[in-house]
Amino acid sequence: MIEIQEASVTYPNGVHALRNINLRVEKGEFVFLVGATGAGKSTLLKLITREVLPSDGKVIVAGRNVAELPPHEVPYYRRMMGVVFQDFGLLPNKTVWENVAFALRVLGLPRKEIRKRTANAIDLVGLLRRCDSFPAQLSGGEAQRVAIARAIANDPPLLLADEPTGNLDPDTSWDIMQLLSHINIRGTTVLVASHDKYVIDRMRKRVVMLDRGTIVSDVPCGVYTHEP
Amino acid sequence: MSATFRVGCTRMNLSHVEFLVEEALVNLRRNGLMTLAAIGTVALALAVFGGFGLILWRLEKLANSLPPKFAIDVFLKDNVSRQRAQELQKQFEKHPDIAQVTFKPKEQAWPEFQKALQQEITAALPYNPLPDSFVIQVKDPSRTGAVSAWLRSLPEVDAVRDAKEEVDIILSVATVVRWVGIGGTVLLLIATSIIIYNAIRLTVFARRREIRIMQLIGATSATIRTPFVLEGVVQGVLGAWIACGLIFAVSKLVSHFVMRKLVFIDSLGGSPMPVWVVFLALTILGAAIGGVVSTLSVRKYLQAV
Repeated sequence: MIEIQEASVTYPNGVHALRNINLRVEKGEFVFLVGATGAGKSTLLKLITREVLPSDGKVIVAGRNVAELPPHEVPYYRRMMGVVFQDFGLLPNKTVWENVAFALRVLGLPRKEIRKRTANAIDLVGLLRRCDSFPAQLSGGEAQRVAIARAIANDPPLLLADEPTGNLDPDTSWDIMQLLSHINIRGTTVLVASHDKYVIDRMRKRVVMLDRGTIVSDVPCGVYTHEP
Repeated sequence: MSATFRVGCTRMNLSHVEFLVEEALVNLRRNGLMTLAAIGTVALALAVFGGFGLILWRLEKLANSLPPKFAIDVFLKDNVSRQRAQELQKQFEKHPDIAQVTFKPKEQAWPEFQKALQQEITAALPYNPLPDSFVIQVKDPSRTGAVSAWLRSLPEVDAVRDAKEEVDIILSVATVVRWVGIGGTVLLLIATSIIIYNAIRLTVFARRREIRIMQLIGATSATIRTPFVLEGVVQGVLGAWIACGLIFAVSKLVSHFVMRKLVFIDSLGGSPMPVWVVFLALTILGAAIGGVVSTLSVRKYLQAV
């Protein structure tokens, strides 16, 4: 599904965010990317979303070299992945329903199809009763559920989450992680960047640890063992 | 797996157009304060620009309408017969620089002269001292001097009275007004565009995160840009309409309180610019500036990811 070969990223200000990264993620896997702030977790996700291009090496997703995608292909490439942010990234002027439906409307799907898929996605995250609420009226956990509903509404094969529990209390974090796990079981490949030790240790999933831009460990069924 | 690259429709269908228009309208309504601020800025900027244009237009009309009022008076010698005068009139009418020739016989000139002066003074005169004359209007005011010189050279002509100096002054004023007007209009148009660009850029800046989210969802650049451009056009047009209202209100007030007292100027000013010309010009200008500056504002953030 994802193959990163000898990839390095150097930002224009000279910061080496990633150095010679090699990572392979199979279809249907659930992977935690862990590490301290600045370790390169977010940059690694941005390589996959093509918000950042590798200065060196290759990023191959679904058989295509991401760096070689022509600009007009990029939107279509991104439709194969859902993205969840730490700060939820909901559109503040749209209701819960509109936020989820928006991801489908930009694709130009027929109205009937949009209604069906939006309802399914909101139902999956358990928020059908909050359809008409605006993001400012939701709790952090609810907002993150809406963001997840939006990310999976199009049923993408890949889900990327950047610190999805960073703003949430431990119980809500656990709920969100259970939701992501549920989505993974349905067949979606899930990559989560996180340093939420409590949740990671309980999940017992594959853990890839980054430190100052390099992968220092990659353990199946791992735990968060980062030591500064 | 590569089949998943093309999810959804790639061509613009009707429901997609409907979506883009709906997006623009909903955003305008829900970003109420930002929308009002942008419309207000557009309205004020266009009102100043349109008002300046209207004043210039009127000044130019005024300057152009003055020279024909300064005709050339040609007085004939006493011994010139009426038949010769008729021949001269035909000769004048053939002259390429002359627009109009009116023969004024002494019998007609005398009562006008008496009326213009005080009756007591003219009543003491035992006979009509005025000569036969022509009132000549030239086609191009700047040719007044040349035509006068030619008329003076004719043996039948006793005297020629023109307003060459006044005409020259008015013509140079008209030229200055025209160039200052063109320069001022261009500068004001640039200033107006910059002000509107800033106002609309602020509304886009406030929503730059939205643009990033839309990009990550997989929206094409056209899908992201179109609602912003439509919003810019709507803001530009609404601002232009408010500007039209302001301009007409102010010009009504001005003509009510000032022009009435300056009958001379008002009578020379010609007909006022038709309402629909101002309305149409500002509407098109507002829409164009709104559309172009939104496109430029969004482009910056579209390039970011």
